[in-house]
Amino acid sequence: MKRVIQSVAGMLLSCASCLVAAQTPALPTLPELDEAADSWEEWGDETTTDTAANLQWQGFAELLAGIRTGNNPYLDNDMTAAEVRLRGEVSGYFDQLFAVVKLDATGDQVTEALDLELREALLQLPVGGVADVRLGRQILTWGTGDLLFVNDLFPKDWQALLAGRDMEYLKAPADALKLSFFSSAVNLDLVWLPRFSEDNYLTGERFSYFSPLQGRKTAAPPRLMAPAPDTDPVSDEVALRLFRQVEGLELALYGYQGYYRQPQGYQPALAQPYFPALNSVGMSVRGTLERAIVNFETAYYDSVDDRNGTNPYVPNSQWRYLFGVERELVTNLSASLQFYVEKMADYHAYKQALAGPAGQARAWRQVYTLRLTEQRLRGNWTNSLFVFYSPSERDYFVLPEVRYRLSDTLHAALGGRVLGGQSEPGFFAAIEENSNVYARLRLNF
Amino acid sequence: MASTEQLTHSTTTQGNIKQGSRGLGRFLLAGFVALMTATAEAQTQALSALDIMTRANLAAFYPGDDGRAEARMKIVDNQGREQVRQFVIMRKDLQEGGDQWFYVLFSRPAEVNRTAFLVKKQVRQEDDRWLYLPGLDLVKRISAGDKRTSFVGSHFYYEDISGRNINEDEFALMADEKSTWVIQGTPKNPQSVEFSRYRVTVDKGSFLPLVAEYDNAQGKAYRRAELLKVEMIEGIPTGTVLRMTDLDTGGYTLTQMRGVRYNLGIPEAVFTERSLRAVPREWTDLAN
Repeated sequence: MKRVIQSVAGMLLSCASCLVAAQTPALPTLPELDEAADSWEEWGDETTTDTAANLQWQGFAELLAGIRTGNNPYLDNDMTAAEVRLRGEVSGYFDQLFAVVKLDATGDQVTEALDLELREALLQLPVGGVADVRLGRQILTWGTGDLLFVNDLFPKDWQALLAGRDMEYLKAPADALKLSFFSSAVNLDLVWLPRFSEDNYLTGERFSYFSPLQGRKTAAPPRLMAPAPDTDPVSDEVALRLFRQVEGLELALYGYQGYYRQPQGYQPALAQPYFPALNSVGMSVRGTLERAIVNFETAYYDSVDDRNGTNPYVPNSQWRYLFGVERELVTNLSASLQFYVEKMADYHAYKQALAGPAGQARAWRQVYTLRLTEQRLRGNWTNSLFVFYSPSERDYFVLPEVRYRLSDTLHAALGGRVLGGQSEPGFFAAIEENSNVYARLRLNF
Repeated sequence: MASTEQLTHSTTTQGNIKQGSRGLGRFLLAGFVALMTATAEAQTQALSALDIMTRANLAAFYPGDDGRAEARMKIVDNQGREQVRQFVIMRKDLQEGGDQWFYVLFSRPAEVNRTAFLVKKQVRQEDDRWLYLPGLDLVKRISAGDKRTSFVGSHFYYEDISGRNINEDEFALMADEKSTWVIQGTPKNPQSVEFSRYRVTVDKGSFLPLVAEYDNAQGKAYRRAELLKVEMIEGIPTGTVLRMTDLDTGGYTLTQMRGVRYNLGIPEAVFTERSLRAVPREWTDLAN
């Protein structure tokens, strides 16, 4: 009798669930399941988010070796990287509170340094249904560009990009408080960075760089460095993003008040580079068009220390524009194109203020990028190519890479970072002596 | 991050889904179910076939108003080497038989832990898709692409999960057995796919497909999907173990669904960028 009731209940339930089902769904009779096909013992009972009571530990060991493809007259070392990296990560939930710590220990033969880098140490907590708080050291990203940044003014690691580290390292961490507010009308991200974080820019140790001040390429010693902008009464930074989505169209407004993250300014009185103040406002829009993703992003960079554009030691204010499109060309091969423009806001003033025109910035800088990504072996093998080409400066930066996932634990990559261009150095040609090829091997655990 | 690329790729390769086969894979299994039940629209006995088709499609892709499940995959290559994937997937139907939203959160392998993706499947236009990479704090928008490519490195194609548009194929009822139908599907545009035809065995009682086999250009079977276990969950026959085998190499992927729940009342706000950056624990972490 009980069985009958159960089956009647089952029928009612199923009818409620499948509105159109006119008859009781009956289970098909399947062949006996062989044990090999249903053995999940090695997985235990762990579920995707079953971490409430557990801390989750993970990490990897990685070897990276890079060697220059040509002579660098400014640096003795032929290697661009020879490092061992150990990552330890622990994360967990404590009720609604999420916590994660990621710590990297590296040993690098090129800089002859042993380092500990705290990549992340953050707490994240939802506040009611309307807000999220994220506090601590964290990676921050927004905007629509691919290796080109317009409104994303968070710290970046250009040495990692040039050395061929995993793309994860393109972004450098910052200590920040991020508040996110959500509503049906609009969402707001508010980021406060209590102390300035600089980019990991080219300092002359691992890679040579172009010194506009000296008007030539150079390298360490001395290492390019600048004091943090803590002489101001307030050296913190604020970034915000207002965003919403309309029928799959992503709209965003951005604001930033802080500093250039590279020492692009120079103080003649102190004879040292510095991080000039920077404000920025901008917007972006991203959506689909047929089978493609299309994005547009723009920003105005207000160079606070040189508002009238007459100080040749400080970057002029700028407009930046980015247009991008991405789509699959054929099965397993996708492509994206970007067109990027920097326009100096006060070029006339800049020209007049210059003592001499040699090797100085142009009014316009234009860059095209192309990305091709090919997948093979169910995605275990990836061929990728990224090319920057600047028609205004007639220089280029090519980033080929082949990646192979031998297993869930072992990954290998081979790639190159090839820069070049005309003799009068543009942005990329100015650092062409850093061209290199590299190999990476990662063991996950 | 190769695994991330596989995710990116798989979402990239999830293409346009038109009417008929509804959807970006709700649950892996349900997608598979629909792929095959969709083909139950046999051309003989047109009314009956259409009835089967409609009911199968709804039963496979739209049970309840929403749902969630824990999936784990064992990917075994031709040399016996194993890879694993583990994720939780949530679905919300906007219209019965129409648009659907999905949120997928990965936990294994460790390198993709907390990687998430969000899909807004739209019947009348290209789906909207986003992938979140926690290492970069990056919300990446993914474009449409070929659906017959690997889903997260497994032997399943995205289309096996999302369902194949029934308008793409012509169907013939090959056999009407006591408890099953056997239906053959032939692509209308053979250039668009890698198979020449396929056969599906559909269970009459539950409308679940039990086996599907794909033939290559030479007419030789090279790919087989099998339902290995079906359970009654909240009154809905739900496939919980299934296997996709590459008959040429012997490699296969085994998928198990656990913790399947329906009609949870998952709010629309869960299917937003907020959930990509901060896991909506209230919904992902339901006790199984």
